[in-house]
Amino acid sequence: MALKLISNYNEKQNTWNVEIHGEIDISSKSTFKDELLLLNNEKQLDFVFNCENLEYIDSTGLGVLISFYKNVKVNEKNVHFEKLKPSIAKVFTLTGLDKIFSIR
Amino acid sequence: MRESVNLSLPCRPEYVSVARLTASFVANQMGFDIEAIEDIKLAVGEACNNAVLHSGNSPTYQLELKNMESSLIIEVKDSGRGFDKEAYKAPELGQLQENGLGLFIIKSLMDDVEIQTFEGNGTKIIMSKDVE
Repeated sequence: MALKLISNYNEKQNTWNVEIHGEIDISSKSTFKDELLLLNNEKQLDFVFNCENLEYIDSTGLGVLISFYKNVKVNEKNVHFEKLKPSIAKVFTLTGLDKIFSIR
Repeated sequence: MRESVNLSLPCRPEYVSVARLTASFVANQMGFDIEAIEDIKLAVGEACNNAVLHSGNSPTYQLELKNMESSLIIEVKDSGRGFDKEAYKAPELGQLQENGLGLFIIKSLMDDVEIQTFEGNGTKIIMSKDVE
């Protein structure tokens, strides 16, 4: 399953809301990274990732998230992850990212 | 061994999902539960990522899934440069390292992992998971 992102500006919360659908892996990571950087360049805000439909993420996808997190932090913004599937939450826990990222 | 599935895959990122799907299918057939199937899928994805990233000029790598009834043995073999496994350091969790996570994930999810690597002569990752 390919990767599809639905990004919206949430005026009320003043955040970027990004719905992730599908898989973030070695073949889709560049698309994912480019889209996130585009949003962050347009407006530097907190990011809220809705992961309800995120089916798979591997170490290359986590690498993109880590480097993006560093970018966002430079501007004193944050990233939040919502509605992780159990298999995705397990990967975050395994790699210690659950302690760094805000997961709700 | 009851059965084995062998695939020769192009060293290209877009084909790694073929390896993952095949591994999920075999694991499902063998009766692994959903959590174990997800573990196997990710471990195979990571091993194949490794092969794709380090294959050098070699056009293909090999994936073998061996159904041993009580366990699934998976071998991923590339013909790349090989690497110095003594120099490999597991990532320090919490340090926000972007590299080195793949092997760490494989070792965390599988019951047994062996890496055979010879400088200039490729790498073979052999991993297994027991049916609970």
